[in-house]
Amino acid sequence: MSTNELLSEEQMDFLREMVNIGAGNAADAFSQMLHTTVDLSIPDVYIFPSTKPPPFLKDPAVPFAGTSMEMVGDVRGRLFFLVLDEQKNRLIGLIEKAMPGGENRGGVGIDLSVLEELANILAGVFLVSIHDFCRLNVYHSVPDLKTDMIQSLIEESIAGVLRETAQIILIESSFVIVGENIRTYFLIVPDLESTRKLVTSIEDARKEMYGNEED
Amino acid sequence: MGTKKIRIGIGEGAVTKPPGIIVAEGLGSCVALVLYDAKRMVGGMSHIMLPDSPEYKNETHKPETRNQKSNIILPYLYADSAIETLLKELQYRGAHLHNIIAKIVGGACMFPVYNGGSRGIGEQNILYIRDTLKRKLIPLVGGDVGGSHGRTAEFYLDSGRVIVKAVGREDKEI
Repeated sequence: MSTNELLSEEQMDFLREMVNIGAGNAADAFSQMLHTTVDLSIPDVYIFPSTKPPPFLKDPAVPFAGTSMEMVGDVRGRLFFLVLDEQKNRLIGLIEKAMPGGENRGGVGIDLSVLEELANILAGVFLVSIHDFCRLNVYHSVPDLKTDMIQSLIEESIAGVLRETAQIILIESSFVIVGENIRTYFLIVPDLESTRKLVTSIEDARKEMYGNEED
Repeated sequence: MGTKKIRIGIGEGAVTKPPGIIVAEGLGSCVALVLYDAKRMVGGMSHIMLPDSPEYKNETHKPETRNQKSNIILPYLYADSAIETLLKELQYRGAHLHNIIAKIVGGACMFPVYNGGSRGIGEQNILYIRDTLKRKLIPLVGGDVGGSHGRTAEFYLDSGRVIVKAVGREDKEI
């Protein structure tokens, strides 16, 4: 049974595999950057139509720290890395604590820009996964961080694709640092043409990798 | 009995009488449009996402009466159909067109727009709503629009006042 209107179950599995590999690469990159072990839980991947907001949007006024990036190249649209505002400082605190000598910093030394850097790395690895699996060249702009009500952060991007009834990809994952988990959300909002291109490329790549064994 | 609070999400709208509050939360580029007849004590609000609906330009798709089913799935989503629908609902509940005033909240540009200098959706919404209200001779008496921060609008039907809330800012009355 298909989990959404856009991709078949087999295509969704393929997308999950792409995202998992991206998350593994991101964990390696974070660990190198922070000189400590950072893990990412196996991500949950959802696809929802732009006309139906995702479950975590149920309370539109909840403050989130949101990092936004423009996506350009073969796939165009917007990317968002989102963390609950009340968890933002905890995430930064854990990173600070986990870094060598962190316990002696006294809370000084790391600022909000670390969230932009996390977003930068996540966007980079997911886009590299898209490139490696689907042979699509996608780049992203410099991240832009803002803390505000969740709906206000993302609604312009959703409005931009609303007329086209495009689909939005949500990747939910937890950062695991010094034994603690922080839930984060990564949103990919492609325009309609890019969505079509992604679906075709996922199907081509899946067939190339596995043949038509499910058929 | 407490005051009735109606929350409207993206593309939704409501019309009611006192005592009542209509709330639109988490407005970014979207605009909350308030229309109010203080004499008849009836008002409505819509949470508008985009300026104009492609369907609405086609005459055959216009909602003719409040009971006639429209082909526009979400009449409050687009400014053009939202204004028409709100006006019809208000008049159905006793409002007089010449008494109605308007207030608008939202229309922000949360992140830089990388689209070759063209206007963001928030600005397009504001311009379209202002222009339509002007054409319909509905006075726009208050607003808190633009900028780059989110807003929540609370419309109090007993007085017509609108309280604007934002993260890290003082509440503002318009």
